[in-house]
Amino acid sequence: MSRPFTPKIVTANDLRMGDVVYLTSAGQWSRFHSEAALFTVEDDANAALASAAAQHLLVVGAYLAVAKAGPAGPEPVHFREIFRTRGPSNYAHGKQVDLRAPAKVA
Amino acid sequence: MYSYSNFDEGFVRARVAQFAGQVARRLDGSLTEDEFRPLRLMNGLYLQLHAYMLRVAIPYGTLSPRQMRQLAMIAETFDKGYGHFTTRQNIQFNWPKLSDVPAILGALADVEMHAIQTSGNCVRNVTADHFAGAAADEIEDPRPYAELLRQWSMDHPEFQFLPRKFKIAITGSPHDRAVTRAHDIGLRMLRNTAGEAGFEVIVGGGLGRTPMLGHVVREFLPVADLLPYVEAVLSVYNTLGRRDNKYKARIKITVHETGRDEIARMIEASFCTNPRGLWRGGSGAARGYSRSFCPARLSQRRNIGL
Repeated sequence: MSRPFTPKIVTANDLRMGDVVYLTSAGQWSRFHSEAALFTVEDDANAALASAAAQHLLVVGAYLAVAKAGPAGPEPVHFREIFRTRGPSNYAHGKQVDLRAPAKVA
Repeated sequence: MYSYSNFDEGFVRARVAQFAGQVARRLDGSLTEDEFRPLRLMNGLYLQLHAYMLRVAIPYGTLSPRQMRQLAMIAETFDKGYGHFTTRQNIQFNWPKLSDVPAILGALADVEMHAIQTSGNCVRNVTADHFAGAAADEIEDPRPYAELLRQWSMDHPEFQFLPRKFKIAITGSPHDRAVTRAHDIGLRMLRNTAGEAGFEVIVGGGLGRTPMLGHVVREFLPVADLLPYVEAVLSVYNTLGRRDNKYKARIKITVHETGRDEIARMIEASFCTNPRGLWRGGSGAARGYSRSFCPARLSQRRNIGL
């Protein structure tokens, strides 16, 4: 018996900048996990991933990551994805500094 | 310091031009990421968790003020104003944009630096004692030999697709400050009973998830035999090294699984078949390079007991 599907978001790295991006419900790429589209149906998630992977002029290495619904939007579950939302952990020189205001890419 | 010859200059400039074309083709879609990835890795460009990272070699840890200023310029112009010096004598820029990397490589070439072979399964940056040229206990300055190894390994057609990355360290002092026992090949200079300079050759050391101390496979290697012997080590590893499991692909595992005595025997057998006459220029070239490395102008050299 197959395991039940857990909700997922589509994430990747921006081709030009290299930073972490998330696929939104509008089909655009955001730097914010909370703006990601949360897929609760496996076929929808796989279709979104296929669409993201085809955008090879915008992003690199798209994949599905487990997420959960939160009050402000999807929240990461795995520590690696939590880490990717924040930037390096040694001191503030990643997203903590750069992302003071929401911004869309692509 | 060693200064680039016209050949070195042309080689590095040609590589910058090639990579600029490869980046342009990736950005316009002519190259897929699968096609582009090995090309960027050959030029030291990784895509890490949060951003691209460019690893720049500082051969045997020698850096001029002009080069240091250029690294600072690159950090301020193309990155976040800083870089990370690594334990293996590289500097890493952690936030470059893909489209800026050709310009960064061009700026590095302006000061005789590059990022070639700082990534991938090839012979990486050759490291040396950080007090090379200034150490009181030094038998000879190791940097000319490190430069010889750098030139020999650069784009070596047989060793571009090794089972895994390969790191060489060299020290000119009997007292090891280059961590030679934790390298794929460690070269420790010493003198034989006749007073001639040579190397103790250590193979199969390493850190990482499976730390191991290297084994001495040759107690005394004459300096003239450096390149054919190192080539023999690489040839044996290239044949025996495991390509089925990246966690077992380093030469330390090969030595561990094969045994020190058998590996040493195979290296000697390969070494004996190398036409050593072809390599005679090597030690002469190293002597020539030694003129590029001025001894430190110190009033006296002191043992520092590290």
